[in-house]
Amino acid sequence: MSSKTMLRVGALLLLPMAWSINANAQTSVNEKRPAAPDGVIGIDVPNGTVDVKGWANQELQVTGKVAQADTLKISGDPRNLQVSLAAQAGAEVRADLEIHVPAGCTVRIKGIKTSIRASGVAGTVAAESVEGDIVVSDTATVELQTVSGKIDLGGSVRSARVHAVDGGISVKNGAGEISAQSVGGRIVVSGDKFSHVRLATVNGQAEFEGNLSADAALSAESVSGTIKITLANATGADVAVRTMSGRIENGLAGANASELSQGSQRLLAFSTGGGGAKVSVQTLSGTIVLSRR
Amino acid sequence: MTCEEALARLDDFVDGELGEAEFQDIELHLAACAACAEEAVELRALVERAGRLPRALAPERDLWPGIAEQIRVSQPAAARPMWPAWTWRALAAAAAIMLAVVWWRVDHRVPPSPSPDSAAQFASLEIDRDYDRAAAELLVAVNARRSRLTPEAQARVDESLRVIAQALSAIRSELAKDPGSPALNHLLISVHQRRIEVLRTLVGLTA
Repeated sequence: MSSKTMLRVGALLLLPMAWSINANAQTSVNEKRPAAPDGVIGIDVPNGTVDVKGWANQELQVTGKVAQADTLKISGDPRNLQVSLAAQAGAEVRADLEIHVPAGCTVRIKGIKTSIRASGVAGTVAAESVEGDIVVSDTATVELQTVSGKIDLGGSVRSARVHAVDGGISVKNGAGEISAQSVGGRIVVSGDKFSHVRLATVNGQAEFEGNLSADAALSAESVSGTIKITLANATGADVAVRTMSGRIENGLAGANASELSQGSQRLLAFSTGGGGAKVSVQTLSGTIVLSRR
Repeated sequence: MTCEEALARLDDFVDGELGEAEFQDIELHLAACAACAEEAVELRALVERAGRLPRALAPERDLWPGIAEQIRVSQPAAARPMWPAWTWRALAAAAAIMLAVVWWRVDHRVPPSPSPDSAAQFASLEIDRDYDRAAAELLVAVNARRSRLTPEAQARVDESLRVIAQALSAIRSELAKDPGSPALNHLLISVHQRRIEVLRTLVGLTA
């Protein structure tokens, strides 16, 4: 084979690789739009990472990289903006974006294989992802859903509704109202200024550790997962625990404890620390562990 | 919560129509108050008895024409009616219903009473089936979109749905022993809702 022929064959072999490299290449973006301080911003990125940050400007800024085959699309008016990707047919859709939004706005993020982060939004963050993790901090109100990703909440979140299917849920330094539900993922919630806490899992473990005010309510429910409730020393509570076949480990000194059997159920009710917050725990076969911090 | 507040919401508690927080409030109160707990037991029994009554009660023949005719004959033609016409119709309708009830009780032999728990069991089975139907419909939509999930995500979804199915099965077993238990019915509905939530999330995310 002549050297010329060899070069031609080599070029033919390398061409698909070059196309592939081209298709996976990313291009930088830097777009700005005026945005209302209390408007709504929708973000739809099926694959990649989205990092949303609240800022004082009345402006939306999108920076980062998108796959070359995609086109970043920002549509709508300042009160209602939509960030999405318009992909060519058959092309890989991926973007890694940092998005600054007015701190008081509402942000709705949707992804499939997308890792989502959000912080510093005084309004609401609603985020959904099938496989990516969701990490939110210093945001007033959150509504988060993921199938197999993990959810991590931190900072001063005041109201949270969190659903995970298989992934774990972690809430640190939580406050206000929180509802955390999973099927098999582990739920861990801690904090000292809760007014209402609801933990529900099917066979995952659910743990709460913290303080409840006298008018607060905590309910935890599981079918076969273990539930652990650890109250701060300052917390007074009226506690009712119900299980069908689970074990109860009661480390809370209970005044006026009464234990009833209703059919196949076992119900334990008592006051601790002078009473106050309403704590209700129910399992079918999961173990219930009650203790003081 | 006071006894008065608890009793005011006892109907909804027994019917399983309270929200999560209110359900927990009542549960806590009932756990600590024997008198209200007794009221709840009696109310459950009443609801179960009511559940055994037939859904529709139709008289053997239409009684209204005869009643209307009697009203017309007994009323002087020129006299101004003391009560508006709709009042008479309402009273007559009430009477017709009462007659129908009496007719039914006298002329129909009441079948032997099933066990007290069977009505509650029937009610919860109905709810159970409704949720199952809703889940099956959503599952069709999810399956149509399965290819949009990676194999790993599909496996995790399948595993979660299997866990939920096992949990429902375990709760149903307990309910078979104690069909009227508000706590078990509450848990059953809660797990059903979790499954619906999971399937809805999947449909929404893969649309």
